[in-house]
Amino acid sequence: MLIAKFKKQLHSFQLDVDFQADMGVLGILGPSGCGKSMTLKCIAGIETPDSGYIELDGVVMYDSASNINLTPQNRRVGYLFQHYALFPTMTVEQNLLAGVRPEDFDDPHAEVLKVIQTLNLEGIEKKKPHLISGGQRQRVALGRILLNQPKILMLDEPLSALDQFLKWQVQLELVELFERLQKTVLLVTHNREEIFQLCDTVTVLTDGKNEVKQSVSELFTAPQSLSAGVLAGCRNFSRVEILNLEQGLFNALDWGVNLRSSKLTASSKHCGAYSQSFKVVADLNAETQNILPVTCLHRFGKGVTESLVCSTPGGSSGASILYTELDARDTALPNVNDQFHLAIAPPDLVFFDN
Amino acid sequence: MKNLLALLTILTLSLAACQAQPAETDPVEDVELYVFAAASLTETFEEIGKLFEAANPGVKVIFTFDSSGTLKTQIEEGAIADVFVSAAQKQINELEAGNAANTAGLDFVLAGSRVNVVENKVTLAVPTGNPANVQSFAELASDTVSIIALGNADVPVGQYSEELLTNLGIWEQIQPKITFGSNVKEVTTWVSEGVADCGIVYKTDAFSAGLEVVDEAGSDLLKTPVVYPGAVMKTSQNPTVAQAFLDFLRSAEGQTVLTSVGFSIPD
Amino acid sequence: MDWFPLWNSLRIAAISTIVIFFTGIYAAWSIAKLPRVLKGILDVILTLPLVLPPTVVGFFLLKLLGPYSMIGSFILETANTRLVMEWYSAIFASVVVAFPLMYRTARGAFESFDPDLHSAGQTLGMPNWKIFWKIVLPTTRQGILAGTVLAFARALGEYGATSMISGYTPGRTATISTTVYQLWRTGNDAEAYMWVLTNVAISFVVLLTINSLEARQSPKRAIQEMER
Repeated sequence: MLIAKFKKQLHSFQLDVDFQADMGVLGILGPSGCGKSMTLKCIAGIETPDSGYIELDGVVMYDSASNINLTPQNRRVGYLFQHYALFPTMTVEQNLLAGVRPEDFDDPHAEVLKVIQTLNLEGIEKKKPHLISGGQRQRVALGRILLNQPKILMLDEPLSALDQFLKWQVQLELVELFERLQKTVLLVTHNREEIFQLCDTVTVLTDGKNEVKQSVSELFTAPQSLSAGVLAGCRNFSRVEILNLEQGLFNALDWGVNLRSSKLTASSKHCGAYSQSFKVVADLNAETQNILPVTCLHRFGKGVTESLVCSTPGGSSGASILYTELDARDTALPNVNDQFHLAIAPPDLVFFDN
Repeated sequence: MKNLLALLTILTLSLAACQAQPAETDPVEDVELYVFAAASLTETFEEIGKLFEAANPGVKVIFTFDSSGTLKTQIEEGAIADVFVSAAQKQINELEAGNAANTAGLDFVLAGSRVNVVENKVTLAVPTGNPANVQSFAELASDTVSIIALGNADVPVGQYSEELLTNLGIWEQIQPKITFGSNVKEVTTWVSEGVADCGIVYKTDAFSAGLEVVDEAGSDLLKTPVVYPGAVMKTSQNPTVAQAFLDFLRSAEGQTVLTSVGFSIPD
Repeated sequence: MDWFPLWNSLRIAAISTIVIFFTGIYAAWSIAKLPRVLKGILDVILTLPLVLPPTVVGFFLLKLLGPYSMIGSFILETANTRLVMEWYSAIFASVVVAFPLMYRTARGAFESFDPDLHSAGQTLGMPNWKIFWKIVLPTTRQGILAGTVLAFARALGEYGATSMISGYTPGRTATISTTVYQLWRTGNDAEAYMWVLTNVAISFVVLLTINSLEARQSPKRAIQEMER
């Protein structure tokens, strides 16, 4: 169990985190430069916070009040760097061996051989890191960490350095690894795909402060702030004017329509809609709720989904524009300058108090 | 090859000195006089230079002080010099046409200008406090003396040193203790810094540097008189002013300055 | 021909290089981690001998180590040893003038060293000294080696400060550079040429060594390839 509560003044803002992580995969989601890597570095002991408290599995690693600050060597934190940090002058085998702490095993070489087999690294033991593939490098880096017997595993954007087609494969392998490991896992990323595919819970980090931890599905259905909504992938936002709270009726000011949703609360200031939440209305007469008359401004993308950018009754600039992703196999897909109708199911709307 | 080098040097120096070349017909207007002088003449000549400039408005004296051997080589290679005053006859002999010592057939001395300027004495000088307690030239061979500073074979004072130490019969013996300097000022500095136990320098250098002198070479040890000749160089652009400078050295004013540090005036 | 200057120059250069190797690396590694302003000031101080004329360096060394100085007189009294006018005096001169070369090259190598590698070593439990010797130095091997060779070459060719602090005594303190100068001054061109050729030969070997070290596949290029 990791308890992390500390502050550190960075260039243009203060990092102020407060969260706990236990078994399972916790994701820290935030835009680039928000302090995610710094958070990991403070937990690992590579950087020192200005003040605060960090505890792992009952051991106090950092406490500014009692002047405790364990060296990274003593923290037993497994850190997978974004570019893996394999030692370039050592072979795969030597890199793995470097991960073994002498006091942990009687026969380090035997343990290394085991990991080579488990992680499919046979054949490349004698190669230097620059001669193996990205996926192999990640496995070596992970193997090295696992041999180190860490109490927690932290990953910094684990899929970012991989080619597209590798990402799927690696993602599956990682999920399997996390389950086998039975340890706390911390993952930082700016990519919501990684959160979605790898994490159980998530906390959003914006402007240095993190929001309350929630499950991954909650992040998408009920993001706690506009920033969180943006990070979760929501692209369409509108100011809200409540018309009838009991009925969940409100005026989406920027979109120029009245909409209905039971998720509306008294403190809702904005609403949001994911691009994938909209459907083209084929038949206006059928009883569909939440209809928006729109005009197609742009249409692009080829493949299974296409993106349509539309203007609303609210206008054709700024927040009044809707970004939608629609199924291209739907033959009624409009063209540029066409006027048509979109519908969004009431539960698909998200609301924000800020 | 040597001639090409000389030519290039002359060209470069001429270009550099271009602005300093006035018309021959107007000697009083902004003349730069280049005087090459032995290092032991540094202090006195700088003072004399200022006096000469005061007495001859429009003239600027530019000195180059170094070992006479170096200066002679530089003149030979084409350096611009109006006047050359050497610490030994040897160097000017080698530049004078018709001189027995002039094996290279050089011709740099303006006929009739050669004159003896000063006479000096060769002395044994020690650092403050005389840490090795040296009292005479003969003692240089003893174990109490570890480091002796001398001029090298290209430096007149070095040549004088070799002569007198050979006459004493200790020259070969003391070789491992000698550190050779490339001009008399370097030797003097080694003594004043105390890095050498003693050094053989001119009486005038010892005086100017405030060094204690413990022995002086008389004519029994040093057959060659330590006389400094001076001459106007044939290549001078201002032979009149150059001659005037040489004359000034031999004047009452010049001689006062020279004798004040220990030079004597030869006949 | 008296070969003492060759042997003397080589031993002075070798000893100086060993001293510079350790002090240069230590300084470069420690300073690379300092805050920017302090780092800048120290950089200037430690690089100064590179831009100062060697005679200025010689002057300072004489004042610092000569028999009238605090250090010089102390050593003279307690150990009855002279720091100047000996063959080993040239080591002081060579170390001072060649140190900046090793320092700057090593600094450059360490600056371009990926800090994540160091952090990774730490999180894996490697003590800092082990990280330095087993990871940092091998990875920056090229730069360190180049700096070492440059320092050796500079130490071998030192003249100005050496001449002032060691003087010139044939067979005792003479180096190749002071010998060539004195031979030329006394008109001994033939022998001077011999030494010039010897020096050129050594320089050739030194430069060829640098070239061959740079040509080999460097770990740095490997890292760059890895990140593509």
